[in-house]
Amino acid sequence: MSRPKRVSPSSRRLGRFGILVAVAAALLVGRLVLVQVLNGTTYARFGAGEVNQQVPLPATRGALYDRNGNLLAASVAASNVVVDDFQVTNPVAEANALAPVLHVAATRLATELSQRNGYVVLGQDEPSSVVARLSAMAPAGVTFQSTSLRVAPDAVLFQPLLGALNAAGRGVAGLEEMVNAQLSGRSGSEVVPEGPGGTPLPLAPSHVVAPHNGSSIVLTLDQPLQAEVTRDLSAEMASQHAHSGVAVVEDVRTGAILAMVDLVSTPHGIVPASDNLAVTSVYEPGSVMKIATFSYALKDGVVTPQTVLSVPYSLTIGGYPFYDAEVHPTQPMAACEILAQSSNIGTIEIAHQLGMSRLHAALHDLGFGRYTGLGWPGESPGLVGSASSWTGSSQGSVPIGLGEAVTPLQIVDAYAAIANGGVAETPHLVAGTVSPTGVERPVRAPAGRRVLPSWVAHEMVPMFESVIQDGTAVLAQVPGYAVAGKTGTSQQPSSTGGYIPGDWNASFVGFVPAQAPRLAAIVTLNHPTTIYGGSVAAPVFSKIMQYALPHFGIAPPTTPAQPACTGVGAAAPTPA
Amino acid sequence: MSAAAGPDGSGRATARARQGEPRPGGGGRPDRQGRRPALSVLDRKALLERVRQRRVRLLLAASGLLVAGSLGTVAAAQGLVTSQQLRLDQIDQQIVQQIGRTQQLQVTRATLDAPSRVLGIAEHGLHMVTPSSVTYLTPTAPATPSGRGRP
Repeated sequence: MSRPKRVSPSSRRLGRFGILVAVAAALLVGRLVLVQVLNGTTYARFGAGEVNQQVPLPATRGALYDRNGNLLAASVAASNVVVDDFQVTNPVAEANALAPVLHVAATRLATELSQRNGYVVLGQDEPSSVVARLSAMAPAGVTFQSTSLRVAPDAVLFQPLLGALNAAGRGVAGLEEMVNAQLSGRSGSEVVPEGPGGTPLPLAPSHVVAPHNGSSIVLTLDQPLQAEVTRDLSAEMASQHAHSGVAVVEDVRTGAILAMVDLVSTPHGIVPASDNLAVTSVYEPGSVMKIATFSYALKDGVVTPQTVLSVPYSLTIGGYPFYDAEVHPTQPMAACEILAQSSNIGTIEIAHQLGMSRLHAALHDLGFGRYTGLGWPGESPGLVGSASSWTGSSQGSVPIGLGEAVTPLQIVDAYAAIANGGVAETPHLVAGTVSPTGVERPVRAPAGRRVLPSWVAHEMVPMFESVIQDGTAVLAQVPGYAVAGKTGTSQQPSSTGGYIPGDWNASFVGFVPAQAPRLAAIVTLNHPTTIYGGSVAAPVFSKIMQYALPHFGIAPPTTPAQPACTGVGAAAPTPA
Repeated sequence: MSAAAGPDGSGRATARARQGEPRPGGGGRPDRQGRRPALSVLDRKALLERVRQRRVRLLLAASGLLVAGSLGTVAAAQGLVTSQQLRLDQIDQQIVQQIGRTQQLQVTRATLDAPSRVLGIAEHGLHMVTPSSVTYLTPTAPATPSGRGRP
């Protein structure tokens, strides 16, 4: 029989101690697993966040060019000049040194350098030349923060089109907003390991995601033409004391917009509008809208250019009287003569035969009351009510361009469609892109749509020619070229109902050469002294085209112009 | 070693060495007086051991040289890479500066070229006047694209 094994107290204590150590070790291992395995990623991220500093690397914004490669807007490197005024020992001396470079009064600089707040911005968006001069001077406490400055070398010509950027460098208006995605590119970043004091650790590995600079945009606009249109329009506005003026020149074959000018009168003179009025502002167009009535009346066989109607001086429709511009006895007038003389009553008679639902279809098909497809931010689709919403007097107002609101661009698009054989090309401003590496890529023009049969368009052209040859717009003639177009004169609606006395809009829209149209343009003036479109807008159109046709090398077609429509009546031209 | 241990004991060998006599196995070359040293038969095993040791020393020396050379090469390469990286950084910085300068010059050129500026100088600086009527030369050829391209 063996004796029970006797365990000494020391062994027992040693055993207990061993158990304690084992438990402690197990706890440590458990904690280790918790920290390293289960929550390892979180702690690693937290640790990296304490050390690594992510520095954004902004992408350079692309530039805007006209169709000839002229620079319209670009971003250039600039710097904010910042000073830690605690490091400035002699504010007056430093202010005297910095003042001539920063073009700021020395006394003001001295005050700012004595604020004692540690961060004083002395200059914003300073060019590199200023930075270089300041760096050479090495003034105490001065540092530079890199920024980017957007500059427009010829802002006077293009300001309403270019738009603006916000403080973050994002396009918030105009072209800058419209093509912001292409221009802005994609920012990169750099992860820089830093020490506790925020000092970058030397030779520490850093992770860099390179920025992808934005592409540059080549526009369809033509800078010389834009300058000429601006000059002609502003001269007419000045002589007519007009409140505002808009002009658009478009290539009828492609829909490319070649010039787009928006001007307003201010006490300081005629200046670019703050917005692109040609697209965002609507007005009651007047007789230029007769295109809808006549084109669909021809299409539906309601009239031909030679159809003769008996036209009185006035008509009462829906309880409202409508008049021609000048008093005349009831007389026979051919349809083409009605258009050439811009007879309101004759047009209303044709529209009555056409029917209001067809007239509404004509307005819709020609692009009124809907977006043009330009993609302009803030574009207005215009105001064209549904046929069911029209009242009795609408039968008199809508055919002659009253009671509806359209943009100048919509009107020139409709006339360009006639000029292009009935196919409306989508207006566009972007011709191509240039990648950051310099690769040019043309942007395919948006597809056009047929709005009228070609035979209707071809019959409309001589009718519009007669407007220039012996109608209301003889001042739109361009020497050596056949011109087709239409005048428009309308009153400015009042917000309280009715119209504002003496407040008129004068318009002319046309295309040239009439035999083989290449260019279409609209000119509108708001509140001119002489109210008629044929008197104030048509001459501007003529001047613009006299410059534009040779500028683009467009020779007069060798084919003779179609004989203009001749009327049967003896009505005197009625300004419209 | 056996090279110092002669048949008559190490004491004599030491004495010979002091007197300038050649040691056994110290080579068969005659001394100044033309006497040849006493020859001895070396143990083959010892001879092989000496050769092995010599090879080991040689190998160690070569390895040392190789390691030192490699380290030197790596250090030189590192230095070269660092200096080139520094040069690359400087060139990158110069490129950025030149791009900025180019942009600035393009803007300056466009500003100088701007039609409104040219017109302003002509009218206000040079007091030129806009003619009351302008006659443009009408192109006579069939619509050929000009240098500026089609509209």
